[in-house]
Amino acid sequence: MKDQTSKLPFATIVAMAMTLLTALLVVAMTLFLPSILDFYLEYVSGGNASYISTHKTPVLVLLYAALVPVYAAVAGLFLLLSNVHRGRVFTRSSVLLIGILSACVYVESVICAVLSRYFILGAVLCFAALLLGTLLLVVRSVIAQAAEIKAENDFTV
Amino acid sequence: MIIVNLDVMMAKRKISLGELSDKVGITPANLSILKTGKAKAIRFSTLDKICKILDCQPADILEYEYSDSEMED
Repeated sequence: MKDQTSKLPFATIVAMAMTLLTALLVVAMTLFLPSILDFYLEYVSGGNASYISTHKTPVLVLLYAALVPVYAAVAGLFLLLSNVHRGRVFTRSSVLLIGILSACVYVESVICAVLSRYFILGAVLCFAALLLGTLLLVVRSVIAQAAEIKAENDFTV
Repeated sequence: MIIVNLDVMMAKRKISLGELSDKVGITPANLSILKTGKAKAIRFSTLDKICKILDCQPADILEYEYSDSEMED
């Protein structure tokens, strides 16, 4: 395993840029969610005022609730990237962070399952979130094993 | 489990940690890991050098003790 050099690999720079972009997108979503929802409900119901008024508040609450795990996940991603930047990759903290990311995505899938009561899209998102959560869980196992091997290597004199 | 009695041998030969690590060719940090029993493995080459410098046998430094707990591996 190479030591962390001063020059970052291109993939890590791309990862940092994408994480930053995602963070900005999430903040934008938080600000524009009511107007987006208004537009969407208008489109879906064809201007049905009673439909809009009954659906707006619960769906808005659900969508804001859905944003909370996303914030946690983005924070986790930034922490992970800072670990990578410092070369502390295969450590217990990294393993824990990936586990937290997986948990965030699973929580997201539960919220999407509730959302599917209003929009069928929620079911699709729920399935996607379950898949992603499982993927992260498996990757976590891989990193945990790598951390074990590294610890064994580090404590060989 | 394997117990490392390096400090006993180092005291007998009156050699310090820094001096021994320098002669063996490993960092003082690594030697300290070995001395305090935190090491998980030792290379034969390292053991060879330590025994040469301290003029002793591996049995003088390493000791086996029966342990009830489950070992990894």
